[in-house]
Amino acid sequence: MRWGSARDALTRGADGAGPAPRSTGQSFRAGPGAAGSSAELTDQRSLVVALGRGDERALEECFRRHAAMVRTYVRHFVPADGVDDVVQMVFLELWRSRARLDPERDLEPWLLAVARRRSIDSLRRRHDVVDASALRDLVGDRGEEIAERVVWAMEVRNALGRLPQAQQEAIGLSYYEQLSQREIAERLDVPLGTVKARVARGLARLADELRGSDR
Amino acid sequence: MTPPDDPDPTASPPPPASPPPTAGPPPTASPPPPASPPPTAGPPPTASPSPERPHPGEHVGPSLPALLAGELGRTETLQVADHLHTCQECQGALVGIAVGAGALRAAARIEHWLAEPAAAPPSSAPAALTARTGQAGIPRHDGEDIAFLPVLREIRRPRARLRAATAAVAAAVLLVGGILVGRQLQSPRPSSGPVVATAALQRLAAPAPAGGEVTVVAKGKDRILIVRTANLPPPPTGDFYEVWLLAPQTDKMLPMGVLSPTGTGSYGIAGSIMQQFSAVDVSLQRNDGNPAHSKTSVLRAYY
Ligand SMILES: [Zn+2]
Repeated sequence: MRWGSARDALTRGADGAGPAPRSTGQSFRAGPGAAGSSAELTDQRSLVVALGRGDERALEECFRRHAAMVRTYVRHFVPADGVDDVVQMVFLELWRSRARLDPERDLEPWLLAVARRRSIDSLRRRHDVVDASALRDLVGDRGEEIAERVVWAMEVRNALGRLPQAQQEAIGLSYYEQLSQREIAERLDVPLGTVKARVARGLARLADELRGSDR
Repeated sequence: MTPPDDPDPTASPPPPASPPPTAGPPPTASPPPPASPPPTAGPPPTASPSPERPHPGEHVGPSLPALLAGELGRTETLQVADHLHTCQECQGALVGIAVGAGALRAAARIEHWLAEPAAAPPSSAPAALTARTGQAGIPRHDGEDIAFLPVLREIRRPRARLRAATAAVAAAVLLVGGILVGRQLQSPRPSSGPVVATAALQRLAAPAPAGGEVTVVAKGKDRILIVRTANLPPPPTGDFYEVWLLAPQTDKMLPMGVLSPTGTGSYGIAGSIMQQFSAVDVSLQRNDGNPAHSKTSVLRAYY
């Protein structure tokens, strides 16, 4: 169950505690609204079950949770004027496939697989010049592998979001912004030892979070 | 202790902002398996002085991230190494820290790669859309995506207030709106407004007696597309018929929804979107998870 903790994180909602607070901005977290969703839709399994019943709120909830991830992914391949179309197609397909979804399986890989196919369709339909590397990165094993990595990256982001704020901050600056520990200490105006301790504790805890998703 | 990904380039200085998967993570290198080495509970520095041998100096847990990141100098590196050789507690801590660091490096790498603008926005993109999607490579979508939702909700209310939304957002959302409305209208109602178009469904791949008609009914600014097929054979087990809007000149297609087992369906859509198409296409879709048009058109009507 490798994707478990991503689901978990999204379920609990991002409760405003973004990963690296003012990081490069490409976090995958679900929006602030995720926390306030209705009770029975809080875990992904019930969400998929509700979707299967034809519950429209479940579709909304899926959109709220996962649109950012899908959009970030699609935007990398598809020109800007086609991104919204593809994202909407993905959720349209989710709705149409609702009866066939397996509640025991995570949605993210499914969504990205559809996003990948839709992106390919979109690129192939275009009459203007299409970036050949974008297609190459979408098609075949390579495309699948990249999609898998995106889901994994999202899971890591979400696990990070469950750490204490100070640890998130130090780790975000270190790994997403690639500052040295000394630079982080200056930026945050705290002693170097404090940064070291926060990063070390945070990493250990992050590893636990990533492993512990099955509990 | 092996780092999760490819041989961790710990020795290199903090990598510049971009190593894409192009170089890094080809098939073999799978994401760090979460259930790998760490011992029982977890490695937080719960201070239980190491048992057997005495070890040099204090615990080095806090220095381990810097060690892995190549931020330690010679002296410090060797001190940490000496300590690690003898201290089980710090060895345990290293496991967790290496896993966490490896996962983060993999995540950051793919995120940086995603942030590169692979697909250049065409010059024809409307300014509003370009601005919204932040063409400069760094995606900004906090809240932006969420902005779809209120509109989506509006659409479920009888009188959708879409005027405020940009055309792009409206168009995109209406797709989902189309689903929702479409579902509510599962059984085709008799027209609740003026009929603005009718057209006969002509046979393409369908066998001989098949046919039917489509009716477009106006409902304010929205349109309801009613499809009634006749003599369409039941689809092979697992397959299904699907209704599309089609713009034959450009091959643009918009999926409207699945045809009910009785061979009928009705679908809500904004008039402004409907205008962009001029044909209704019924396709036979395989249940293979491929969302694209199957290329098997069984019936078609031009309106
Ligand atoms: Zn020690």
